[in-house]
Amino acid sequence: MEIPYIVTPRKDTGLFNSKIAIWLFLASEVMLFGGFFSAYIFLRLGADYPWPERALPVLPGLINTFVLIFSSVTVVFAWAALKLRQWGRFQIFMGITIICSVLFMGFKGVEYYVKLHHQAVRLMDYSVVEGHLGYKLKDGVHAEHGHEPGEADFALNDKGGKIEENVIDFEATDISFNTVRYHRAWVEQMIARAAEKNATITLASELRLQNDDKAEVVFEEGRELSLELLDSIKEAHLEARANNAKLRTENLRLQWKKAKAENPGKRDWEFAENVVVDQSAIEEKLMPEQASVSFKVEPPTAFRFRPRDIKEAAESGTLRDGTALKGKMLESPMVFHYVDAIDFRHLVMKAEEKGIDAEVAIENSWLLKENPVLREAWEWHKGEIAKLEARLLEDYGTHDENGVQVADRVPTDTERYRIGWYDFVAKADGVDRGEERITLKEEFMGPDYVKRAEKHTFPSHIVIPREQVQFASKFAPAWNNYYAIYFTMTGLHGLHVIGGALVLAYYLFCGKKMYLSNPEWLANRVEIGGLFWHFVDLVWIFLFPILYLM
Amino acid sequence: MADSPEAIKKSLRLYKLIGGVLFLGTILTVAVAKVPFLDVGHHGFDTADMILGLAIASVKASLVAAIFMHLNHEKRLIYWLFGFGIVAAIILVGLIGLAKWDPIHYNGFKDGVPGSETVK
Repeated sequence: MEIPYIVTPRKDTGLFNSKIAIWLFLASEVMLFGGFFSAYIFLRLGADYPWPERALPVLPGLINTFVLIFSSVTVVFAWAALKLRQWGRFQIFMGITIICSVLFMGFKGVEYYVKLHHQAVRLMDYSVVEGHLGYKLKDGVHAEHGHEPGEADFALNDKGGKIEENVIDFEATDISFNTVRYHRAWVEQMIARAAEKNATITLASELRLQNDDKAEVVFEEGRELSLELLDSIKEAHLEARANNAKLRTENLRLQWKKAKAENPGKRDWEFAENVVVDQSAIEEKLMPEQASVSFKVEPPTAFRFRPRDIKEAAESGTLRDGTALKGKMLESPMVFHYVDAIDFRHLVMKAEEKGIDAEVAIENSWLLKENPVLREAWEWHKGEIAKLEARLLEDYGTHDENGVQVADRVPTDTERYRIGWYDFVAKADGVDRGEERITLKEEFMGPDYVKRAEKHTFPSHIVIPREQVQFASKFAPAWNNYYAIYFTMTGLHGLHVIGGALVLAYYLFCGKKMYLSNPEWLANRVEIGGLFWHFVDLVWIFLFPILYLM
Repeated sequence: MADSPEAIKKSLRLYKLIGGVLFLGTILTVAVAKVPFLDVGHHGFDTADMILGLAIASVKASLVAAIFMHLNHEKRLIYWLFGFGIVAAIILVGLIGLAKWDPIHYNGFKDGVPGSETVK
């Protein structure tokens, strides 16, 4: 069957059909991205924390912009080559376009990797620490000054990976599982941990439940925790719950009928509140339910949890699956192997809301009070900001404001209240802030800790007690709305790059046959693919300044 | 439309030129954000920087749309289609105003359900 209007234009529209289709699609895409830009503006205007202005490294974004612009030129050249019936040139230009798309996604992948491996923590006083966490050592192994632990010294998780020093150790004496919601992997981990520590986890008291034939099933006190045991209790509980719900519903229906007969002429809502299940009538038929089941841990054993999995308190904890722990929380600090930034902007914002002077608030922050290395860095930073203030005053002068001379330009809040990794480098290298030398690799990957360790550039082994931690996350969507919208918009854009590149690659690698039989059709197809590709470039033209420069 | 071989050959130079302008526009966008000498408005990022940055981006985007996407010589139907998309997107962005200038104000739920004083 011949498809009409794929090469020649329709008389009424003057266009070949697929061109109308792609523009319809692009119109819907404009609305899609418009919605996300709208969300970005909304989140930024409504942010109740200092918005991370110019927080992303510019160089990877800039190179990616160049790459996309270049690919926009090459894709239009590829189309022109087809129109001029130059298959070889088409292959070259389309090939370059595909390589550009791979480069773009490669740089984006590096950027994502760096963000998703960079730790941030907001302390109770709203100061923020950024850097990289250390790894937990095996029980009994201790870090010694000047001696880096070897691979054999690290504790490993059940998948064989190193454990970041951001786990919560909880010494449990009792564990209560929610009978229907227990997470099997965690139960297995608890059993394994107990075996490792020569401890037992046993049923705290005898349970008498019933099976589906209503015969009694006894779970004796002292039975060891196993998934089979929990599964059997769950089965009996669910059976009882279904049976009891049925009985209650049937009884309620009966009570409702009775109430209607006793209240003729009345509307339902007038007597509805008096209609309740007659508990005594069904009492004997009810089966015993067991919504939670308790186990004793002997001797008390320390279990290890990721912070996101446990809501902890001094003597109790609740896991995300509803498992309740009793015992005591052990010292579970977050340990930064390297700190590459400290940020007081949020602390200052909160202090100013309360009418507290910013400098006073910073001086009294936990970080500066507890850590002499960070205090020294802060003193250096204050000196650098004073230099910047003087320079701005000299370059731009002052203006009169109600009879007072005010500097035309002053340092930004980010400059005043944040010590970034560039600043730590400048300090270690003994140069002024802004004159530090950063390698090309560092522009992409962030600071080279190993190389810079010789000069003790970054404060290392900073221990933050758990009670000082307000919120911790990698630079992932969870950290704040900025990263949420950054990942959403760039992720969606990245998917468009991949989709567009696949279509263009199809024309490149599978288009020869069509070129030989109907070259104009292929040219039209490439024009359609090219229009999509230009749109992807067009979206990035806005994403780049908004996310990287504003 | 630039569909004849001669016209297409002629367009190639224009495409290169526009590519060059886009490169320069990108450098300018970064320069006004990074070079102190070119920093407009106050020191650091402010509204003036935002307007300038978005203005440069808009010019770049217009060039891509007009030249690379051939919108400078398209059929009227395409203008209607794409124009509709842009107007709808602007309305979407404008919807933020509904949250910012919400005509309904209440003092939270401390004193009961809002408006409950009028319902007896």
